[in-house]
Amino acid sequence: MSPRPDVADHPPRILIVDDERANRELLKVMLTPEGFLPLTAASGEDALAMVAQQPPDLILLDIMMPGMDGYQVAAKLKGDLSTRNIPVIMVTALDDRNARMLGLSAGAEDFLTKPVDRAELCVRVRNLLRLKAFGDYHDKYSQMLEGEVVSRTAVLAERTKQAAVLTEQAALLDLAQDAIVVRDMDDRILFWSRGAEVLYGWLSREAIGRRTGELLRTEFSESAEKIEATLLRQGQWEGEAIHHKRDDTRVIVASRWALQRDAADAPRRVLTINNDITDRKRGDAERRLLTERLSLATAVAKIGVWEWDLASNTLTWDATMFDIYGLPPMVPMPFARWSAAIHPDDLPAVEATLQRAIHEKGQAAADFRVVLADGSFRRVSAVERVILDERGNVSRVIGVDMDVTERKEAAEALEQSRQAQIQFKDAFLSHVSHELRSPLTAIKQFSSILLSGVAGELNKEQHEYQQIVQRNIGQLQAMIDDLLEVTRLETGKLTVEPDRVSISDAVTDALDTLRGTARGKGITLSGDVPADLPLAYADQTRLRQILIILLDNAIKFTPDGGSVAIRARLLQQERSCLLLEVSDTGDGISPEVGERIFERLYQVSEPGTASRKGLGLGLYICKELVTRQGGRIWVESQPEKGSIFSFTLPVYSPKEPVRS
Amino acid sequence: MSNRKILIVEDDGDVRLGYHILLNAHHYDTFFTSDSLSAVSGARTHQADLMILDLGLPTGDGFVVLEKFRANADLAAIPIIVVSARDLHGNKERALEAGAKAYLQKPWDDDELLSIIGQLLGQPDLSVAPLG
Repeated sequence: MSPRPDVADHPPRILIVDDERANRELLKVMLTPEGFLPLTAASGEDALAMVAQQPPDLILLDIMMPGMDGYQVAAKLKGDLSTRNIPVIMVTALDDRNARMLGLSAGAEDFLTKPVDRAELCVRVRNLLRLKAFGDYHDKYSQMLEGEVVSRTAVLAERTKQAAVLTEQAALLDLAQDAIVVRDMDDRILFWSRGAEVLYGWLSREAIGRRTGELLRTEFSESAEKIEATLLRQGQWEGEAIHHKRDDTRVIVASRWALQRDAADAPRRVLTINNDITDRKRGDAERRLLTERLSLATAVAKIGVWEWDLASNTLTWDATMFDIYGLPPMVPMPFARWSAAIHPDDLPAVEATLQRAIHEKGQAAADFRVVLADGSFRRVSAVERVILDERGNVSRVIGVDMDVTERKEAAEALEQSRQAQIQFKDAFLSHVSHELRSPLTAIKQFSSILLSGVAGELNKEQHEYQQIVQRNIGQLQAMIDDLLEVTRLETGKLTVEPDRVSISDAVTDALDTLRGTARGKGITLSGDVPADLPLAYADQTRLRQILIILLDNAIKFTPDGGSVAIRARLLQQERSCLLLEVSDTGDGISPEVGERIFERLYQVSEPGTASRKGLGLGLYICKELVTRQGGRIWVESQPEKGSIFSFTLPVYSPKEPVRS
Repeated sequence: MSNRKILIVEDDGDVRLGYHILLNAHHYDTFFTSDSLSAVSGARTHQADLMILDLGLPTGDGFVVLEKFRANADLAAIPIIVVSARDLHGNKERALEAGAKAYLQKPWDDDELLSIIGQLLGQPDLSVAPLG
């Protein structure tokens, strides 16, 4: 509201300054009837003091006064900001132009010349008062305007300051790598941090004003309504969401929302802070996948993983462990519950293994049986390793239990089947040899009857032919014997029982046995055994068997008229060994045959070896028998000159057990 | 003096005939049964001086016959020679333990068989030292 300049709310106060009392009274008399309130001052100094105390509305100022004159007073008044607007009328006797100029220069608004005309005085006073009123109004208005400007400037400054603070805070928010977004309740973006720009690829100026849901194509794991309800109810929400970047790639974010309410408690804005956890999630997923794969692998392989905490004496098992033991899951599990499940016959050894691993701070392995609730067994193979605490003491043992029931059963089944096969082969060969012997018996019987002449005398040819039959019966019989012998070797039925054996007796016996055969071929048989030869530690029956096979072979492969010899002596380099040699004057064996001659079913197939070869089992049986008596066998041969089969046997020493 | 009587328990006809020819040629009387059940009655009926016994017989193992002969006082004295196609291994020992005097594997050597028979019939006290 603006002041009204023409209405005074009090009688205008007019200060009359004159050193002449008469002049002051005169003016007073003139002004009072006009409704003015005249005040008087007798000097310039008094006047200034009165003005300072209470400023008048107008001053009538005499020029010529002792002390301060009118010009000085005027200059003083006009020089002071608080009094300059008070109109001053100079009253002077000097009616000249020079005096007026001085007065105006000093700041006086008007002049009156003495003697003062009453009418003129009143008009001039009134005019100046009116002017002053306008001046005052103008001043006040200006002041008001200025005040308003000032206050507005202050508001603006405050606002600028706040804006600066906000900008600063926003800059701080920008420092955060999180994507910080402020949006209104209409989902329009109000603030979009630098982190949001980086994460989503949208600049702040592009994002502001748009809806987050549309810009980021948000996907939540729970319904948007539920999230909204949570936000309104609790003032915040926390969860994961999927956002799309500007380039359409998906990011998984951990999102935190906070609701801001206004003074009236109405929802106003939502602050959201989003963290990119895509990589972490991928890592989590990969870890989870890895763990799943591992669990799958251990479950499929039936490998249970366990940990034994020594302090609490409890076990932590994975699911496979409970499967293997057929126990309901229990966490943690008392150690005793495990030991109760172990087969009592196996438990001491398993516990000893565990204790040893702890004692040695190492690892160990054990095989044992687990007894299931139904009384059946599971075969378990366990491997464990101790874990040391920071002081180097064993605090835990971790390990795996593998269910090897199927594997063991398969191995056992395989072994059983192998045994069954061997048994079958054994039974088969026993049966076959038995059945072969029966007709052979009849053949031999009747051939012998014919030869004996019981059925009538044979002529020379008939007799000779029957002898061929007899020789072949002998070979067939030997083959059947060899077949059974090999079967016994392989089924482990052939036992070697070493004892004190006289080599001399064994050699004599073998030579006696084959003397007839040798004589038939005109072969010289001889033996050379030193009288002081130590006793051998061997199985007498088996030694005889070896010697007969070697002699028989030697005779077989030696042409008529040749010689076969047995020689025995103490081995020079190894005095704990006896060496026996069977030498012949046969065709010899080619070097490439070498040791192969001792292989099973090996047959010498050289031209000139016209005689029957047999099954090729004799030397194999020899080698097996020699080896089982702690010796070795080999052959040295020179083609056309003959072969020497040599074997060793241990010398009997009193330390060896003697069979009664 | 009359011929000594040998009972032969053997299920193979050809082999039986072979025994018959051989033993008759050596002045033994031969009697035959082809199963284990009739061995005891055969030995009693013919008052056998010796028995040649096969192990694989239709109505029961030769070992059953050995047990029966040992269990009967009138038969226990009859020397028995087991002659079998079965493997020597295991069977010989078992047969001798069951009371057989000798064990021969088929096909046997006639000279050996005749020698054993001669020993067993000519010198009964040899039975304490089994032959074979």
